[in-house]
Amino acid sequence: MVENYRPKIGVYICHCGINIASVVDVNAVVEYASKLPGVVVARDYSYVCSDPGQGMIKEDIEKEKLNRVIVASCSPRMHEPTFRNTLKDAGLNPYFLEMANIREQDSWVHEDKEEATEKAKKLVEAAVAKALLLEALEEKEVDVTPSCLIIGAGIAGIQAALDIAEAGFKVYLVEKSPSVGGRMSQLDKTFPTLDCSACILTPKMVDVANHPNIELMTYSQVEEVEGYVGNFKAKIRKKARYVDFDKCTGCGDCAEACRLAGRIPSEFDEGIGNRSAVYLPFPQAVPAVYTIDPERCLQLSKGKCGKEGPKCAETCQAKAIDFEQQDEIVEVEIGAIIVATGYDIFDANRKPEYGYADNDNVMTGLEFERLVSASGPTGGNIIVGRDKKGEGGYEPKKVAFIHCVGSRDESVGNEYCSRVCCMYLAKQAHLIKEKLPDADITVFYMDVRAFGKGFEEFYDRVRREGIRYIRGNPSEIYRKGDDHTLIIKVEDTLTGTPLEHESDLVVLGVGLEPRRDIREIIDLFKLSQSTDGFFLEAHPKLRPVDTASDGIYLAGCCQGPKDIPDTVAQAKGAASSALILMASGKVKVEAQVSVVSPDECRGCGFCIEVCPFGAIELVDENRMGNIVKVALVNEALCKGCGSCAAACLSGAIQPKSFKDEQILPQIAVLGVKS
Amino acid sequence: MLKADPGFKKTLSPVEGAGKLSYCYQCSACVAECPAAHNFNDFNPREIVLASLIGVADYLTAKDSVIWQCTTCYKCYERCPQGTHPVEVINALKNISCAAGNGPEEVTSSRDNVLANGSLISPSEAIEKRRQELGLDKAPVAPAGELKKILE
Repeated sequence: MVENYRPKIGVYICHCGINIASVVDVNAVVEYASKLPGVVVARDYSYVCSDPGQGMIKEDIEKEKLNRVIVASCSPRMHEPTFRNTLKDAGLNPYFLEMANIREQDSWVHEDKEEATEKAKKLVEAAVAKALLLEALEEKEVDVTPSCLIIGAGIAGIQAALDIAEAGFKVYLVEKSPSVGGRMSQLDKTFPTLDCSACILTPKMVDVANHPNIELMTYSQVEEVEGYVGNFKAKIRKKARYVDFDKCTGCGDCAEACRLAGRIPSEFDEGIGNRSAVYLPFPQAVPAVYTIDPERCLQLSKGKCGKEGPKCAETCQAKAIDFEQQDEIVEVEIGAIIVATGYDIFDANRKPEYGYADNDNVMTGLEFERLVSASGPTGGNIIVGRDKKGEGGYEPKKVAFIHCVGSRDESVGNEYCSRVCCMYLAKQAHLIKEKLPDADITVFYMDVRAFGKGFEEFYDRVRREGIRYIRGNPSEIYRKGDDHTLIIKVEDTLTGTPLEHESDLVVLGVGLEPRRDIREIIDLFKLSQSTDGFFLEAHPKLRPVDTASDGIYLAGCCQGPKDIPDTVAQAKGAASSALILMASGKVKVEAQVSVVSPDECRGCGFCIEVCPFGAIELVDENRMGNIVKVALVNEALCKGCGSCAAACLSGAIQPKSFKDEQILPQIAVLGVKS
Repeated sequence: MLKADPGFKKTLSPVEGAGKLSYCYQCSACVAECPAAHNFNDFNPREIVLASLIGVADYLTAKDSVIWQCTTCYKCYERCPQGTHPVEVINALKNISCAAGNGPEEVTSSRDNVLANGSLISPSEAIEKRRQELGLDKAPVAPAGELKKILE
């Protein structure tokens, strides 16, 4: 370790090809820097970040016994870690590095060469002023608990759980609803290959339930999370099913006996089918254990079920029904968390002009999936307009599909494209053609975005099957007369003709939206949202599965609309991120954290309120016999953002490397008096 | 050949909301909803927005332009998913057309009436007679001079 008695500074000015050198006179900056106090060497190089560039710094550290290094180049976000490693390799504390950003903050934003050069000189001089005051910091490591919590057991959660479990680590897979499977289990076939969704998903669902490394908790919710990367603690509420998990054989006698059998709209069937108060969401549900809906069950909500008492309990031969069952709280310790909470579909009632609420032959894409599915309420027969008992109805003869319902629509606040609607509508059009070859099928679109592998080919195939694509966004759908004929008002923009298109079934290509209960997850994990409302990733291109909080990863549609292949790929990415953490067993925590000077702290707690990472708490301190409250920073959680320092009224909390005494001289050089 | 004037769209911005036409992605929800478009083949708000955006709008501000078939019912304003406000584009075009002296006579004569008399309909014998029959006072005279001052 080089001692820091007398500063010996090396300054390295980068050309960044012509990114910097074409605007800033690099030689002039080198000459200026070489005369600054404490500077021993000042050099320039075409790419300081390259191997020879870094070699130059290492050589100087050795020969000239440098104890501070300044690199004037790009933003520290880009190459600070690179140069810190250079210093470390040369035996210098990595925190003796200071960077002057003369690219993003200078050459890229200025045209006047003379002024840009002057600014570069000032920025380097300011860095020198701070470099004199830098302190050596120590990087700490903490152990990682070798287990992972995954929230949401849709295809994303299932895939991530299987990957991590296969690698030999413990997984707690928590699902809010009674069965795993998520949205994918509701789908009939998948585009563009027309694989049956259930056929490819159910084996995975069974695998997660049986894997020795996976502890599956369905009908459960995470209630509390605390801790930091590598060392989280979570409280999970296992809601009472009122059915004994181990005794239930899944025979279904209870559901048939239930007094409310067939009278409650099924969530899984999107309300077009019905269930009982004691139910299995769908036949392939995992676990195959029935659940009693406490809000609907007469015994649980009213305390009385008929004169003779609940029929389900009477019928159940396994004696599995238990109305006295209580919620259970489980506490788990985990090293990493994967959030895979999925999406909700756009509420078609927010586009009232499409008449979704008034006409039962206007349905959402997801409702249509249940209608066309062999496991759906009609057994896969396309029958619309059935009554409440599921009788009557008709086979549609003229079917219309409408693109972009609730996507690409500023008027409902969703500017984004949902990425799946073009293709799922093409697939649904194909499915109708298959089942009702004589039906007249029209798709109203604005643009067809067939971007994925095999998508364009599928879109071509569907059009060749005789499905008509008309370019135009309908403005209104209304019922004509007393029968079920609907009129779609639209313009065919390619011929410029306004049309009144008749149809007896309209499928709305509803988009994907963040889950309506997203707030709960945000509060639980302190996640951020992007402008579209989905969870924000750490970097849109290079860190698409990470979040701003270390150790918490994203998978699937909770991060943004995706199709199944993309969801699986992202889930595998999130699993790999979590595995890197768990397999290495150690994690480095930020060295540039905030520190509290307990003597100056007055315990007001402002820092706790502004801390975005929940890293500060108040603890007791004995001050001359008086017990007072003072702030304490959890170094593993702190990211050194400095919000606390800005909020602190007494200057008692300061981030290391950005203390007032370090940055005020730097600012003073730039011409601002402190 | 038509010559496009890409700067034309900027001349629309004095009318509030008309300047947002570059958001238009030609979905035609406006045309589907437009009662005028359903009755007159040559009136198409989507095409009007497109022509104004590209800057080939001379035919729209010329004499006897189709834009005067717009009844300003604001249905397109309500349906537009992009907040483009086709009706405001048309209003801006109407202003440009009138300023160039190309407005239809019914419109310009009403405008001149307001300027001269301070009211849309000038007092006439027939009106006074009918008022008398209904037991109303003589029609009040609009303060045309004051209006002129405001406008100046």
